Amino acid sequence: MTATVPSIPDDLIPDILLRLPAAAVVRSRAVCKQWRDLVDDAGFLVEHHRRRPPAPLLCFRRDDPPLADPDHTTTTSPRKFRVRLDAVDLRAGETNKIFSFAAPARKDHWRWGPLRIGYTPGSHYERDRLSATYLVNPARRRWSRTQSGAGCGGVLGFYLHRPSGEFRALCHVAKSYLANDFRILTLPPAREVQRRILGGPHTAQQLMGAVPTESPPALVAGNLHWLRQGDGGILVFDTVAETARLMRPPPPVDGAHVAAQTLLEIDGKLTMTTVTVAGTVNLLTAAELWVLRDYERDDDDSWARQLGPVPLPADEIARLGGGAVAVVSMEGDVVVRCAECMLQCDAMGRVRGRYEMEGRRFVGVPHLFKESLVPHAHVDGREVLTGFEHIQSPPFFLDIYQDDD
Amino acid sequence: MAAPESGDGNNGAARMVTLISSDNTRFEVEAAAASLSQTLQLTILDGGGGGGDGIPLPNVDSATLSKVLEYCIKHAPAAANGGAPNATAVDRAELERFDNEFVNIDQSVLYSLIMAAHNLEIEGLQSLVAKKVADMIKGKSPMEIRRTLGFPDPTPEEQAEMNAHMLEYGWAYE
Repeated sequence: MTATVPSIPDDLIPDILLRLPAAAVVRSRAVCKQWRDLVDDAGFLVEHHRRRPPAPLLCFRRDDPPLADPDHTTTTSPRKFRVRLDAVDLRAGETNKIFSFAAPARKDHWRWGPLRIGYTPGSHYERDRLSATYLVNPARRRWSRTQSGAGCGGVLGFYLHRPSGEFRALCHVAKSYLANDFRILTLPPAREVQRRILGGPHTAQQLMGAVPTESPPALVAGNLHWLRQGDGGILVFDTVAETARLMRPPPPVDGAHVAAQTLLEIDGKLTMTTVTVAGTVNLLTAAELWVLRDYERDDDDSWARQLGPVPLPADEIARLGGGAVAVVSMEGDVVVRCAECMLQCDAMGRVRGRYEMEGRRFVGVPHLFKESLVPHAHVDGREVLTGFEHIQSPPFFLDIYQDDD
Repeated sequence: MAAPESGDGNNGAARMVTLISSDNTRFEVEAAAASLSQTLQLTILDGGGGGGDGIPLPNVDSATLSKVLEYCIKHAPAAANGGAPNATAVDRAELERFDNEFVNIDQSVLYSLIMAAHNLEIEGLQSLVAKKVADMIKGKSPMEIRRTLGFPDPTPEEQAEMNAHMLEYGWAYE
């Protein structure tokens, strides 16, 4: 009966293109004029970003030994470390390489922003000092290099400062043995402002309580959130006012040993994963996902249990030296950071994937990455050529297709 | 077989409706399943499709319609749960498995499904087939995409633009 040539109605094309990974969207620009106009539309790009499935990040690291120097006559060449960052496609059970590179091993600091990645390699020459900070958007292969934040020990958080439209970084400044200091760096390459953060009711010592966590902060409602070590409290950094405060965590559960594990942004909401710890060997038997329902509220009902208890493969986790557990979707997908790998489990507690790399150390990154093709004037690749005349790309792009031998 | 004409007839046997394909095949299905189609829902709410009447669907042939109804029957219970916030993980996994299997079909059948889902406004099916097409083209070059989707061969100008794009965005073609 149907004799017509099968084709797709024009008004269904956006729905299809919105589901493509970023690189495929970029390729689809070349299919025809209509597609290019569609894909270049700012509204399309925002919606595309909104729909990208959140992908847990995997970071692998390998430290190369110093070059052999049997006579000990000269100083050895600096050790190098190799870093590779992958994003996990939870549905497909695949990993996609975001970037990899090698760099001299020194104090190196890594922090991830929500859409873009801030990379701050340590200086070769001076400890505790950043030689450069890169703003990178891996989905667009765009970057900017900014000057050093002299004296800054590490970037704790990275955010878009809405009033100014600038990317900024919250930095920790180790002031010798006297005190801890926190500063804000304004990151566009054209100018860099460094200043102390304004007071707020909480002190640097309380901010410091958030520092030991390896987690990048969860960015929700424009604010950065960390789980404080020890007391399970939540520390909030308001990115507009640029002050810190404390937030009420989910209520404690009676009769069970429950530990707060991970703060994540899921579907625009602040969530906390808690785990039930059982037995004398501290088996992680189940996880729950709590969601902050109403960001503005701050009472006992502001948190709701969204999921749980989600069973965990406790014995497998224990065997692999598993620690940090994160529920990474409202459907109950769970990732567990283990000693050498990351486990992916489903809502039934079954292991669905195990991610590791031979010869590399797994460095857990409890963070969800969503590709974004939305352009930003401050992450636009062109500036990098000033000051980088001799190379075309920063290291993380140079190595991206090389084999990791 | 005529269903009681009471408004929300959730009592007793499920109400059935008849759909008629473009090649005059009659399909009898539960009203709840057919109502996944926004287009049909209004007619059915008005009491149409019952008894000997049937709702004619001049744009959908019988092969496509039977496929569409297979989807609707499978998804109707979950849809009745109102987006299924309480659906268990088992239900969801089962539906996911069904969906994957369901779109594992010839391209020509897939395109007929796309048209039907579009005409009948079946939201879940529309996104399922859109996802399937996205999966089909996501690893392909612009030229391969054009061929896959049955576009005409590019003009020399279009070809030149494709080449220029590939030079500029080489990384996206790896």
